[in-house]
Amino acid sequence: MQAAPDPHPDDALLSQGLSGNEAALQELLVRNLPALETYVRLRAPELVGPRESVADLAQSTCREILQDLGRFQHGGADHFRAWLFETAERKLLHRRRHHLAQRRDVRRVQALESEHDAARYLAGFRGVPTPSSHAEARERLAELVEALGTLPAADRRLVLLARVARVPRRVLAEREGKSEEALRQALHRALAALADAIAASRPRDSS
Amino acid sequence: MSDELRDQVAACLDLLDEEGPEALERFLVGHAREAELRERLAILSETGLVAPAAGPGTGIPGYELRHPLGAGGMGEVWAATRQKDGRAVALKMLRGDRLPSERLARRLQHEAACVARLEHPVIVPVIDSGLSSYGPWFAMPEIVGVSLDQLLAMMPRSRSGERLLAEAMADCEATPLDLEAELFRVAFPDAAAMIAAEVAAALEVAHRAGILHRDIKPSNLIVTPRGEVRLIDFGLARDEEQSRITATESPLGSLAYMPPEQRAGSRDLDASADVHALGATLHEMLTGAPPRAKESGERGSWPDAALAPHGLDAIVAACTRPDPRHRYRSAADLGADLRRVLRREEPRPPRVPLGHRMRQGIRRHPFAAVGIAVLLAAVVVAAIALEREASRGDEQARDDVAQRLELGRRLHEIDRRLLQGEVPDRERREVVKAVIEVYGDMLERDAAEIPDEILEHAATAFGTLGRIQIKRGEFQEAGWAVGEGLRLYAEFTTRQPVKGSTFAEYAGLLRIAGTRELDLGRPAEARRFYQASYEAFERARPLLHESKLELCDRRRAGVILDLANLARIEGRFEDRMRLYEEGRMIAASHPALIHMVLQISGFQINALQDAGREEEARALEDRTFADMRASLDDPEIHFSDEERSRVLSILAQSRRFDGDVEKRPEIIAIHEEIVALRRRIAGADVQNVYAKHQLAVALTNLGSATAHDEPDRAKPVLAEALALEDEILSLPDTASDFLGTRILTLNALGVVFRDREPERAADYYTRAIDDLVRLIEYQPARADLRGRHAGMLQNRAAAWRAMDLPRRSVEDMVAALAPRLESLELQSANARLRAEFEDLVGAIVSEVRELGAADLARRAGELLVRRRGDDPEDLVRAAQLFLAAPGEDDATRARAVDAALGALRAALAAGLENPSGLRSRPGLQALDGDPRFARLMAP
Repeated sequence: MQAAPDPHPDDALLSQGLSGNEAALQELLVRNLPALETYVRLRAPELVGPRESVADLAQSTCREILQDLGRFQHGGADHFRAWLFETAERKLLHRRRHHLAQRRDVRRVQALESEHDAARYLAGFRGVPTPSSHAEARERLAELVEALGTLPAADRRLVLLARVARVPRRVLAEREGKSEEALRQALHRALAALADAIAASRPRDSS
Repeated sequence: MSDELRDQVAACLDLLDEEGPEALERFLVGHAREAELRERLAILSETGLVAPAAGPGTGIPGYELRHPLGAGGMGEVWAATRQKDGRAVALKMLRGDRLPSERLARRLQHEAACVARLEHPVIVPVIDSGLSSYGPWFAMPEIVGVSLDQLLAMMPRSRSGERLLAEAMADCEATPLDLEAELFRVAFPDAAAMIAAEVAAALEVAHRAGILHRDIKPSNLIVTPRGEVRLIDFGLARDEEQSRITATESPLGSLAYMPPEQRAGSRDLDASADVHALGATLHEMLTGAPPRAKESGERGSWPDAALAPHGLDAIVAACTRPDPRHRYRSAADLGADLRRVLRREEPRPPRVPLGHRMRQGIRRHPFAAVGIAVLLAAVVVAAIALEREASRGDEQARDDVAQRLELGRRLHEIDRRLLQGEVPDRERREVVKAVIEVYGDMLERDAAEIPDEILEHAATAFGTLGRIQIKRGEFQEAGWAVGEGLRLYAEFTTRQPVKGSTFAEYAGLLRIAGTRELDLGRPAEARRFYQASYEAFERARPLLHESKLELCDRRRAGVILDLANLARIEGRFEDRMRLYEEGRMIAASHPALIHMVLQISGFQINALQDAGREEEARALEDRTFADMRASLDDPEIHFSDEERSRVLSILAQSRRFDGDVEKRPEIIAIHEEIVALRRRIAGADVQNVYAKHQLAVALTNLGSATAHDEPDRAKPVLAEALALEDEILSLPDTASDFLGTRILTLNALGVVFRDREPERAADYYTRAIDDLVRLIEYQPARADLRGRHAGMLQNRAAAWRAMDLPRRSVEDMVAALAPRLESLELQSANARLRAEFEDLVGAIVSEVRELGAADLARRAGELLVRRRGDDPEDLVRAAQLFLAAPGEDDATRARAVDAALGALRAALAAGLENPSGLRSRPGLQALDGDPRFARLMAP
């Protein structure tokens, strides 16, 4: 019943983009922007803290992609996607080095941000119910970020590229030089480890 | 976590990947580790990382899926073709890459039902719906267009409104979407107003049908090539009659557009929530970012000034006010105002009586004719004049930020100077109120939009105001001021560079908020505030000048003592001791904080007593008492009245516990000294409710110490305390702490009258019990209150006995059992509570026996069996109770014996030590000769 998949619409945009149509390239980036922002949101706390806005980092990654398009060598839209996210990772690492060079302890700032947020959302002081539910959502995100931090770098990268950036396994396997099956196993084990880490971080019922 | 479990989770993911959710479900059902696997999978599903996007598991009959259009948290939308007529539709269904969820399925069905009830050109109708093997779905006509957020993203963000049109046109033409529409033939603010007006009209229809959209945002608005707007995604909509779809009230919707009440998870949203979100959307259309952009990481850079000529700024401000009562009352009112703007008429947004409470305050308390007040009056009059101008619609004045800032600077400077000289709170309060008055509606915006300097002035002003109001007992007002202060400080501490004093101020306010939460009986929230406060102090410390470190550490140690108090309330002994130690180390680093060190020692003595470590407590007491006395008498050490009275209180408290008669005169002398100090403190600041409260506490302590042996001496002291407490408690919204003190006073008065006028004593106890019941309702987590409740009932029992009402006396004792048990359950490790409970049971056994009250004996015994069914010793006590008053007639006696045997059987089953010793336990001899008992005791 399901229709045969259309050719990936991003492929056409990419080829237009590579042949000089900047608008097509921009559209391609816009399509990837939500996932890119999510990626940055998950990686930024560990690497750069809240000093830089997620949107700015994502935008800056896009700018870099536009500038360096000539360096994009091969493959279709999926490879482009992988390249985009790898560029974002590089950018984050670069920003981290920059901050460390300025002797700023980004992790401290991160804690500070969560405190501000806590206070902001705990404005329930004024007699309305305390929005603990809201804090919960924030805690979930923090929990995921922290759990990702416990994974070995290669596993974390795999999870983020496969599940946030949604780079197909086939493409990832190609880039990693692995078989698709090996990649799938590695990914699923990494996800299982992630679930473990999250479960372990949650308080158990105690008396 | 075991590797095996991890392997199993990975295997589940394989299965999900290869064969889909149904195969996974079959695998999980009955699996040996089903619960753990489901937990892990649920965790992964929550993160959104689980399983690849594979599209819906099965097709939708009658439709041919073409390609995905988008996906959200709940569902995904596919472009599809209806096979019977070839019509292009958008199909919404559950996400194929998530585990199926009953809750999400219900929500999707609900969305379809809501939309089907609405008819408006802006609302995309539901044309078909059904249930596939994977879950519910519905079809809508496919809309060709671009979502507003995409449209906005295409626009350059650094240009003023006037230049947008051409740029937007150029950008849009270059995209595959043909946006030649006349939408962009008008100036962009007008286009924004038109879009908002159309959405407002659609919302009005939904609201009249009792449906709230709850997720208005640019990505849910589609603009068609003909410049029409369509509202989509009623996925979070809620109708009035429907019970809540969400299991918990998590704040659904997009944070940046949500009003504060929705973010807070309020159940009582109304049309104004959608009005807020639409206002935020309009703000984004006009400035490039929603008002709360900072939270979502984006920030608009289009100048606000560009909006002013259109009057849309006033509309946005009115939509996004924090208080829903101050927004447009309906979407229709908002739409009408937007249309006025389009007709180039003045909008008429609802006016908030800006800072009206502030003004009332100023009117109620005209300035005293002292030098500083003259200056103040001039500034405040200027501020009010400014506001009056604004209310006449003089936009020039209203927008004159510079003028306000100048006034604010002057006031802030005055406040700073007042802080340095010990100026009465009354005057400081007027100054800070004036600061708030001057900035007025500017503070109603999202804090992220308030300029640095104004933020600093206003945060300081709110913080000071909150503190002063709390001191004066204006608790409701204080709640508002502290809340605003926190909101502004939270923002201000993100601005660079942050001053240490800013962090310290913020930390102080967080601490106040924690105390307030504790007072409201919310220890978990209190802990969060205290911890945030402690962290903020930690951040303040390295930034502070050396001369400020002692003050910072004093307050930092104070927060630790607050946390220790929480641990005490929650019965976490180890935490409590650790925190005392931490607090002591901080305090000990400053010679001037010796009073805190001593105070903490006293707390440690109490903690050791609570844990039943009497010997350690006594040893520490002996050591500390000498230290305290020596320090207090040391002329080299300066204690303020406040510090001295605190140390003395703890001295008296730690000296009290063993009831040594010889210590009594010494303890009474200490209490008298405290009362004298507290009188002086309260006399110096008659407006300070806390000072008054502390005086009442001191009087009550003195009265309690003398009530038993010198009732005539205690009587006037306690009467004075009670009068003070009645006065404090007559204030609206009083802190529950004050109620706690009155209970102690009433109890002490009961002791005073117990022997001479027991009836009067019983009355005092009854009042105390009533207060306690209120307090327990207010603070259900406090174990100590249950213990006090039981103690008060026992005291009243003694009064009834003195009045020769033995039955009422025993009834109170039996009633005391439940709170005794509750306090024991809340703090099972507390040896003192255990001893008190056992004493009470012993007393009930002998009283019911004497009275022959079989019904009361049974009631008490049954309570023990029910509540302590796993404790063999308590089950034996239950048997003793049943047999203490077995009743007059045979049937009642037989029932008592049955119950006792049942309790003993349970005690044996629960592992009673030395069962053979049962025969010799008091009260159980009644079972001798009963063959069932003999069988029970047989080896």
